[in-house]
Amino acid sequence: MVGEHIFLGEIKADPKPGPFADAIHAANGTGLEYWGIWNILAFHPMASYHLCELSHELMHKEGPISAALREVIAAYTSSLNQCDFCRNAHAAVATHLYSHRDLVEGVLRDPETSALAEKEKALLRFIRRLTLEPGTITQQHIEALTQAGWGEPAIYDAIYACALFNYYNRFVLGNGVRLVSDRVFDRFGARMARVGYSREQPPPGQMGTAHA
Amino acid sequence: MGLSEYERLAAREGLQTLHAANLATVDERTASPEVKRLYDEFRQGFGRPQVPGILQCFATHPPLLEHMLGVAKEMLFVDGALGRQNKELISAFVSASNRCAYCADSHAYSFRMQGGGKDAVEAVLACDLGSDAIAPPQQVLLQFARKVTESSQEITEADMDTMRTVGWSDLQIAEAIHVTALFASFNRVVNAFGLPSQELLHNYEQEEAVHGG
Repeated sequence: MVGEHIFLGEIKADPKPGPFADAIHAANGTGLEYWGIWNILAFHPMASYHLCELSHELMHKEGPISAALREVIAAYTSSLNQCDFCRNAHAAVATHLYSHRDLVEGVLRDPETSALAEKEKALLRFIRRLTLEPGTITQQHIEALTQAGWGEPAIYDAIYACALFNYYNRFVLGNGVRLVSDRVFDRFGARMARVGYSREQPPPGQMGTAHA
Repeated sequence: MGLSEYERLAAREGLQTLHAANLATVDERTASPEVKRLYDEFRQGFGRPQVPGILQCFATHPPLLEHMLGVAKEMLFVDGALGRQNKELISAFVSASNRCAYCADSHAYSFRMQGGGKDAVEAVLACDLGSDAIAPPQQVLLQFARKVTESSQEITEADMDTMRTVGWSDLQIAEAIHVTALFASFNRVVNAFGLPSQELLHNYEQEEAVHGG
């Protein structure tokens, strides 16, 4: 995959106007390595605008689960789906938020033997089931989370974070988004830890239209 | 047929109280003004009296509801390059694969409303991709959706060529990946909340059997 950011040549060749096309052009101008995910986000800027906004709300805003733990959920979900791009990216974000690389790497090796508290391990057991066996969730699995001390707002947010990364993992792997260097993962991870997912500006002149 | 997909549905469905097995959803009667506004926008945009259960899940986090409606309008409920019928075909199949009875039912119903055949919908819900009822290019499309769903880490450039060989364009493939991935997310939310099937397809087929297609 070296030299190509994604599988679909026609998508790569035709980034639609918006913040992701701008980011690609800026990176190409400097010759720096950039996120291949920009190429697939640039294929439909209005869908990507909504996805980034909802990702920002679910992952970065204040909530009953810390942003650091939500990023661990993202990285763990991605590791279960063998999506190395999302795993590395969100492990980097989580590491910046926790300031603790060993903790995050420990979770990704095996949550059960990690330094997480029992309450957090219970959450990751649920994430594992929802990711790998989505057709088997029953009241009993929700009850286990309640028993561990999680309230409904936290359970909702864990479900949404897990579901979101089950989406992103397939979006990234299905399109063949290539890995970047550890240095670049770290740099983008630090940025996401600080500013989150939102690109704020919708693509020019497209708000409120049915279809771009 | 005369009536649109949603007019038919509106004629059949009254306002029902939803019961999710595992977690509480947001009932309109107790919803915040922000959520009520988004439910109203949905009703106006889609012409349906009933706010679908999945939206009543997303409404636990109103900005999520707002932007998921945005994604759905941009990616699912438009023709794009792939066309509505193919998108509903993928949606129903992926949901059946993920054992999400609620989504499989509602998108199987939408597939029928978009002109999909009765035999095809049965094959899709049984995940029987070898069935003659599914046309060869659609069989390849669904095999691709299956791989994205179950083993996306194994997708390679060769899978793109397999799709291109039967006539799918790069833009159509990109949309197929996007729709398949969205249902990986929707199905998990719905299954975690425990939404039951609305039996839209069953009710429709019964009605067709009585009154003729």
